[in-house]
Amino acid sequence: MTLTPAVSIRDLSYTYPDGTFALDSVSLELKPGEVLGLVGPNGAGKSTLLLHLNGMLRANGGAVQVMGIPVKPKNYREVRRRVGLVFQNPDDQLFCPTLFEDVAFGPRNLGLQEAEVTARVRASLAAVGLQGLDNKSAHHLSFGQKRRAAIATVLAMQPDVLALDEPTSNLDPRGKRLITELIASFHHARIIVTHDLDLARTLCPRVAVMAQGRVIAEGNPQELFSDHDLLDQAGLR
Amino acid sequence: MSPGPILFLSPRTKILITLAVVVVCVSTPANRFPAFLGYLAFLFGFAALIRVELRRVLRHTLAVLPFLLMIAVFVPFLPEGQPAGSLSLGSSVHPFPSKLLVLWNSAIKAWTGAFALVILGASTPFPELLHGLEHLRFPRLLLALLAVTHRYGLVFAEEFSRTRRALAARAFRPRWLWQAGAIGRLIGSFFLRAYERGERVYLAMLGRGFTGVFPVAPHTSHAGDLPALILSAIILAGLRWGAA
Repeated sequence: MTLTPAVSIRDLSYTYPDGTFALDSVSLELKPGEVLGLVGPNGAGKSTLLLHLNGMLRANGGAVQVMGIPVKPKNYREVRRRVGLVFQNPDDQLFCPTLFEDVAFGPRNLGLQEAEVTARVRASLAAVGLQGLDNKSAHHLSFGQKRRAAIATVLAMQPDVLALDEPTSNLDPRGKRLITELIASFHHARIIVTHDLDLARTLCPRVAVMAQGRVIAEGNPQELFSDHDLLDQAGLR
Repeated sequence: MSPGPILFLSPRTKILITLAVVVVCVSTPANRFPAFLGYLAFLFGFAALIRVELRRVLRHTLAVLPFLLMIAVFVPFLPEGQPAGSLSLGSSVHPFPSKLLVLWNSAIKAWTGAFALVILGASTPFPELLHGLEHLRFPRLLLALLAVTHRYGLVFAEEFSRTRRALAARAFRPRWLWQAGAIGRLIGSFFLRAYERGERVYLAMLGRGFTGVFPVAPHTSHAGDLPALILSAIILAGLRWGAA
C-alpha cells in the first residue's frame, strides 16, 4: 500500500499577470510528516510555489494535491484548513487587536464552538511557548514572539502541512535556535523556504534547490551543499 | 490606606454610560449651572470607581483647548441677543452676558464630553472597546476597519519614524517649500507599501478560512453592569430634568 503524499506538485507552471515568469514545470512530493527544505536565490519562485499550496495563486499549468485533495476553487476551504501558510513577515499575519483573537480567527472561520476555539487557542499558544499572552497586542510582542505567534495562528487550524516562508529571517541567534527547535518538534509535513543553509541542514533530510522558477537539484543537504558549482548556480554562495 | 473597591464593568456598559453623559450634557441648557457641576461630579466619581489615573486623564482633556480658543476668538463678533448654540434659555435674568454664555456653553460641553471619552479610553483597552461596540451592534465591517487601522497605524508609525531617521541621517531637514517634493515621494512610497501590505494581510486572512464575514467573539457581562447602568441613568436624568 502506498501512502497518500501530503503534498504532490506536478508540472506546476505560473506566470504573473504582468508576464513575469515565475514557475516552470515544478514537480515535488512530500510524505506525511516529512520535512522538505526549499532553497534558492531571491526571485527563484520559492514563495510563489508556497502560495500555490492552498490556492492563493492559480497555476497556469500543472496540478497540486494536498492529502489527495486537488487544489481547486471548490476545495479551497478544505485545502486552506489543511495547509498552514506562515508568511515571512509576521506583521502581515497578525492583524487582530489581540493575540487571542488572531489565533482564534481561523478556528472561528471554521465555525467551531467557542469552547473548542478557546481550547485550540490555548493549545496553539502553549505549543509555541506564548501561553498567558492572550490579551497582548501584536504591537507589544518582540519580533521572535511575533514569529512564533504567526505559527500559532496556523497551528490552531490543525493543518496537515506547514509551509513556512523564511522562518528564521531577521532573528537573533537565540531566536533562530528557538524557532528551529520549535519547527523540529512538530509532526506535520513541513515545507521550509529558506536562504539559511544551516537551518536546511539541521531540519531537512531532503532539500530542493530552486533557481529561475525550476527545481535544479534535489537530495540530501550534505551532498548538495558540498557541490560548489551547484551553490554558485543557485546563488547560495 | 486600603485600596477601595474596583468596579468591573463590561466595555459595553462603559460605552453606554459615556454616551449617556455626552448626550445629556449637550442637551442641557447652558444656564443650568448646577447640572453641569453634577455631571462633572458624576464623572469624577465614575473615574474613581473604575480606577483611572486622574492626572493623566485631565491632561488629555486639554486637547479641546485649541477648539475652544477658536470659538473664543469669534465670540466678540457675535450679534447681541439670544446666544446661539444653547437651547431654551427662558426669560430669566442670567448672571452671564449672553456672549460669554456662548463661550461657557461650548467650553463646558466640549470639556465634559472630552473628559467622559478620555475616562472611557483610559479604562478600556482598545480591543475591549471594539468588542463593546460589537456587542452594541455597531456595523461589523466598520469595526474590522477600525481594528485594522489601529493595528497597522502603529506598524506604519514605526516605519515612518525609521524612515525619518534615515532621512535625518542623510542630513535632510524639511524646511523650505522646494523640499516638499521629497515629502511627497515619501508619502507616495508609504501609500504603495500600505497597499502591498493590504494584499498580503488579505492573503493571510484567506489562508485562515476568511470568507468575507468577520467571526464574532462571545460577549461577557459583569455583575456590576446592570446596577451601574440603572444608577447612572437615574443620576443623569435627575441632574438633567430634576428641579434645580
